Amino acid sequence: MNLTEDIIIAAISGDLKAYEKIYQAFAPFVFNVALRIIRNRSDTEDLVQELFIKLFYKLRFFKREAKLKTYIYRMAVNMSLNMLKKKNREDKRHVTLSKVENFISIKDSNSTVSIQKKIVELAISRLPQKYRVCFILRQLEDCSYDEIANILNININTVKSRLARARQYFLVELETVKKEVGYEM
Amino acid sequence: MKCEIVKKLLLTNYIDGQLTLPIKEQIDAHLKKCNGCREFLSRIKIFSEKNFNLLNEDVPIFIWDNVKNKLIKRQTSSKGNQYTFPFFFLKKYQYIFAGVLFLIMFFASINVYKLIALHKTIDLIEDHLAFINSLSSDSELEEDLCVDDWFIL
Repeated sequence: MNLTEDIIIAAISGDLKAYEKIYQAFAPFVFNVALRIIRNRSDTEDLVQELFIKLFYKLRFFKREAKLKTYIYRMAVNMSLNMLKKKNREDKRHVTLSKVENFISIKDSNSTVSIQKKIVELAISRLPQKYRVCFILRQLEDCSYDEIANILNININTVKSRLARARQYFLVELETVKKEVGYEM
Repeated sequence: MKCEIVKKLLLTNYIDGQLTLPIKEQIDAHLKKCNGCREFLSRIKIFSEKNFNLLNEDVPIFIWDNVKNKLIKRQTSSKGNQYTFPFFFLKKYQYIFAGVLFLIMFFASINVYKLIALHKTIDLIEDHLAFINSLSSDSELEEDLCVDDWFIL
């Protein structure tokens, strides 16, 4: 969605309808990135609310959409990582067996597509945190290398090497999950 | 080109279509010769072919409702406190400027006060000297004393 400067200015002056357009443009990104990083739905919902309330009061510093976009993306990633730390959930590489068992139990009742989705999701959730963030931004949100570098405040070469590692890990994890579940894609 | 370098490039720039033409040609030439790298490429094609976006979920509708309600609440509660509202949204340099201005005015006011006090003291001493001069007929005090002489004495 293209946000004109007028919409942003209207939102700055307190127009909630204009702010809703900003929300509609960026909420899917924030929600999905946070969900993959935090891996907890209710925490993610809280985070999205908190972010968009904070953002409302900081809008005046970002009249240009490009700046606003990078700012929101960075805010989403940072807040998600902070929440992860706060909740003291260590980045365990392997999800608990019960989750896999749950998955197996729903395997019979769901369609093939949704099973494949679950397997991919499980493989992503097993990636180490710093690689997972890069992977999510590139594969799920289609961010460019430059954007990822800006969001994570790292060098573009670091982005490339993390992404390469993430993709290698993903292939390994995908095979592992498929074996655990006994599924051929 | 070594297989290691080719694999690293395949995993990032090649798959994402961000290679310059000469390097892409070099890699393609390598792929024609190397079975291992070709197999590797077929394994990682998942990253360019598979639509990972499908994993994305819709944002629950109630989140916007909650955000909206909280913002409306805050807007109505801040209406009675309009004078403090813009103060918290000054930019960093504006706070610094205000701080410097305050310090300048503070020290300037102290100096002005000191000057006024000094002038008052001088006036008082001069009054006293004038009074002493007018009373005294002593030869030593015949000449009029000024403030400077008084300090020297």
